[in-house]
Amino acid sequence: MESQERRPPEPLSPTEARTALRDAEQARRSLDTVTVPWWFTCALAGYMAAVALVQMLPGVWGVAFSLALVALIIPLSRVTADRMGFSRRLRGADPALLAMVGAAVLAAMVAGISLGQEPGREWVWYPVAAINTALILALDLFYRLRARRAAA
Amino acid sequence: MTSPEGTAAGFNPTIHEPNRLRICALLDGVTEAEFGTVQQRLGFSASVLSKHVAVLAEAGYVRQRRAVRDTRRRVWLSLSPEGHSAYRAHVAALQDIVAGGGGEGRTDTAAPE
Repeated sequence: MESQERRPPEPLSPTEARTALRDAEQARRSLDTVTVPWWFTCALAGYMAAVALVQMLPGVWGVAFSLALVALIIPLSRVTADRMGFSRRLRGADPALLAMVGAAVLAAMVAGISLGQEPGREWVWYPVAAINTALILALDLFYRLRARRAAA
Repeated sequence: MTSPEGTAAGFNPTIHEPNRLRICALLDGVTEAEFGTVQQRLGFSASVLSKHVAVLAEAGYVRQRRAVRDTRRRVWLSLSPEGHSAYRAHVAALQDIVAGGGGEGRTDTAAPE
């Protein structure tokens, strides 16, 4: 007669747990080597430059184009996520880094508004546009270098 | 602390299966990922991934969203809030084992002698 005694489950060893954690970490990091498409970076840099340059448009046109640009960022992000096949969750230092860049862009815009109000000083928006573009390109470079390190 | 079945608080046998653990780990780092992206990144066949996603979906850990792009139907996967909680609790249980918190149970049983 066959014994049907059921033994308690064997314990998971620390080695097995460590292996499982390593596999999970490798899977989690598998997307770290993926960067946004170059066209997204170009579009975003152009977008940030346009946000500054439209401030030179007179009256209602500046407001209208500004609102149109604000509305464009969401579909741009959705198209990018769709092409990449995933939407990354911000983690670690990402939120702080993005907040810093956002604050720098905001500071540049505020400086442009302050300095560009006087007649004949609309030209200040050109350097503001250049600063905005440079910030986006620097951010993109940071993430590409990070992805390269992750792939190494 | 262990349950009568020998599993630790947080240890999740459904998630602990190696392929499902990797799926949950990848999805934990994203808000959403397309089925093909998960398949490519983890090196699964479509049928294997489908099978494990079905198990996780039945457990309420994974959500599937269907969308159409370029006339192709695509499936986007994401962890539910329960899935995030369960996965992170399971990782914490594994870390506890590594740190010497005690051996925790597998669900398979040993053959009687």
